[in-house]
Amino acid sequence: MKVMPEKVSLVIIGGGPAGLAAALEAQRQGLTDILLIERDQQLGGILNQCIHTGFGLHYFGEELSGPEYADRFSTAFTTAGIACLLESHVLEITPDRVLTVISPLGIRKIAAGAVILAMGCRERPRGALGIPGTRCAGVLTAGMAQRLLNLQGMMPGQSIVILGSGDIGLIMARRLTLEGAKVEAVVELMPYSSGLTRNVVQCLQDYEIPLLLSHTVVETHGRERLIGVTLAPVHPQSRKPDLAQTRFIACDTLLLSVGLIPENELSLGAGVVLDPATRGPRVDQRLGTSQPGIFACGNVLHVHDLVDDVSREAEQAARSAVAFLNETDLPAPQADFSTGRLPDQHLAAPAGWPFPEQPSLLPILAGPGIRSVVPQLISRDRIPETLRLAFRPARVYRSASICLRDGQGQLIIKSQRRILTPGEEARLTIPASHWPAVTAGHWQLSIEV
Amino acid sequence: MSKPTPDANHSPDSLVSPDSLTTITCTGCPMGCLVSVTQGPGGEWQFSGAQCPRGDIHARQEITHPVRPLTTLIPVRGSRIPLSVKTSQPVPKALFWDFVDQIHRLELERPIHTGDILAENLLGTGIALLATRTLD
Repeated sequence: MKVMPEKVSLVIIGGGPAGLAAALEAQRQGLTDILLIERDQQLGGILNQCIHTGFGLHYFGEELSGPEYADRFSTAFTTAGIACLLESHVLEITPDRVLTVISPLGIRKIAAGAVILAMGCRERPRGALGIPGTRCAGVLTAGMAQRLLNLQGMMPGQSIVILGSGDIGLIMARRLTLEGAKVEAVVELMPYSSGLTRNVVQCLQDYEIPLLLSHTVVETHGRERLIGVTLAPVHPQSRKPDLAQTRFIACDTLLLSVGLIPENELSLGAGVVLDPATRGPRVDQRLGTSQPGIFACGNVLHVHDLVDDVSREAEQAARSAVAFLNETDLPAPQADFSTGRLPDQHLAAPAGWPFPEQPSLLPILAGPGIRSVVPQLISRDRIPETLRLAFRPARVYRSASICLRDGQGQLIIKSQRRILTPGEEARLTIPASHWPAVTAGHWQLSIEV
Repeated sequence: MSKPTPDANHSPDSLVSPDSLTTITCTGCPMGCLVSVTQGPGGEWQFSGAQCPRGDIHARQEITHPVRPLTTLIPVRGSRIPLSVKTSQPVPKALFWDFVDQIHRLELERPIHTGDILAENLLGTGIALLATRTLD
């Protein structure tokens, strides 16, 4: 791109799997005036550093590595001739969809007919954990280590402790072992791994890497470089460390794999209302946010387990954005998703979120046993043929039922599950035949045992 | 790699029969069933403990012919960026480190494109090595 346009029908922010799938789908829907903005030098996002396989089984029906999955989409994107700005950063989105973009072409403003947020997420850093100890080298996030190793060929260390058993941490345990490092232990605060069983088996058990459940790191040691960490068991309920039972493990590197946070600074600036549980925008079933014409998909909306789901979700966002551009006669949701402020993350339970009585929006509350649900709202004027809810349970449940009830407590749909775990996002499909007469009030999703 | 150890998420003592040769964690779903493996009088494998048929299928595969996906990096002459590679199919678990050694001995030069075959019939298994990124 030589000249930055002043007006674009659809701007997509982020060139990872969500942004690429959204752009391609928008073009398939007949839209030609599309601009994708990516801050990196290449398309594909985080997939480029995920050299392990396991991607694409649902979307392509074959097992691909991350770079291969990205390559399928970026090749299709380039072939489709969709406009794209690389090494470009969106600094601001206004509520009326004027973007400030800094790029090799300079700083410009772009007025967008519609915007798709596809910025992904980032890792919780050390500062979010408050681990006491020195600020020496050798403490980094698992994703940073993945980038150093897989994209730059640099080993982050030789003896490794990993805090957090999320999938990135498990996969890095295997990667680092394969490249010659010794992974001393994976330490998990919770009494269960937050990663997939397959990864626990194939990344830890295969290499006899200990998984210390209900443990945490209570101190880091070292002046210039990390020389070790102190571990302690935690109380199963309060999760407070028992400092009478500490243990020192020598290591030169501590990797943190302690959760992902959707990257929503831009969304907040645009006045988009966030959900305290997902930390992504609150959306209706079209993936429309509280700001008309701004849509969200992928990990900026809620953290996904599978990129295949990201691609599908992004296609839905693109269809909704194109429909928004085409059907200006339909009433767009007003900025009425909530009081408009993000409450304190620690105080607000999802169910405690204040909902205004909006006749056009039906809230879906996260009830007992549910940590988060997406979408959080149903626009009643556009009831879909089938509705898919994505949710995370608050803890591990065996033999439990997912129940969706209306405001009077009447059961709408019930689904029996053998297992539900916070490590795997679950889905509930509500076919059109199950839709009751939609009345006032709200729906509530809960887990019943 | 060595024999799979019981999943730390469970208390194996209460679930596994005492005469079992080994226990295998099924990876078919988040249940992570512990399947205990024993041998019958005729030497045939017997499986117990899984809550669905996938557990037995997985345990049989793990006990008779365990395989693992293999992806790694190879330095490429003249490139700052290492090449990511994968095997054309999962490799036998017993040969895993032999595969790693063999792959890390390869010497490559640009250009390389996604899907290029970098080596064929590794260790005589018929398994090939494929590039998973492009280095022009």
